Amino acid sequence: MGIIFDSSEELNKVINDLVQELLKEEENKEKFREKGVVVKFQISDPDSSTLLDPREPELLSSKSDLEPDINLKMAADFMHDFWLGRTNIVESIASGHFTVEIGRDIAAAKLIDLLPILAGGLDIYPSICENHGIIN
Amino acid sequence: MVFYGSTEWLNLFQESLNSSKEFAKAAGNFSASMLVATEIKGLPKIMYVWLDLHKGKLRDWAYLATPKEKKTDFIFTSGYYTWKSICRGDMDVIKAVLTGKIKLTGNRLKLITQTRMSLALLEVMKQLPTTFPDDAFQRQ
Repeated sequence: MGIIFDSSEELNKVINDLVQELLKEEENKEKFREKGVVVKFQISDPDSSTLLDPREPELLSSKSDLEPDINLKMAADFMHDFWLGRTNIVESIASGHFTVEIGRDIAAAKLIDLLPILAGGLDIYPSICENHGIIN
Repeated sequence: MVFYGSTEWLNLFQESLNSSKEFAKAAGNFSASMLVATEIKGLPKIMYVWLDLHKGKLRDWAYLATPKEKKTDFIFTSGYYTWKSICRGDMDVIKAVLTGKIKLTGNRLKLITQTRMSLALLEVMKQLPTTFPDDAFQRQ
């Protein structure tokens, strides 16, 4: 178990809030639809799994059978630092702290294409931490 | 600012290139399809962006899952940080090819006559309001 989150439930709530906030704006939702990529955030210690389907961007599914096009895997403590802007994404991929799995028929550049949407999370995350009483 | 390599960035690059008189003049009748391959250590696949240059215009671009998806005349392969340096104008692309920092696959003779075109293309790229993923996600 990492040190930032006490439980999977707490982590799920934080991720849920982050994604809901990220996709609250219709413009972002539309952008995500256009990217057309099913993304999974697979977090460990504690464990959490969130699947985002561009066809239904408001839906957060943790138990979907849908195969992600891009699976982003990281430990919860790393995720916390990532959204607080404390990590170098390229170096983190190289070091294995941020693992990316890409579907066979999916262009790897689709990962880069998702980043403009994900980057918005860095502006939102600190206030979500505050709301949940999580240190940042 | 637009993220390097994103759809938004590639659309802006296309628009900027197609409105550049300098690029149109330098490219003349040159037409070729090119694949820009970016390797990131730890990423399970290479990122491929396909560019279709046609008589002074960037006619089309696409993300490819594999290099064989589209006909390609040239493949330029290098690491993320090399492309970043080139895009920012910190590295000379011709020198990068000659020194092997960029691996070139294709007819070198056909490309060697297009130095002016390459420089004009990079000049357009340099002017784009580009943000790079490693910079954008590291704020502290």
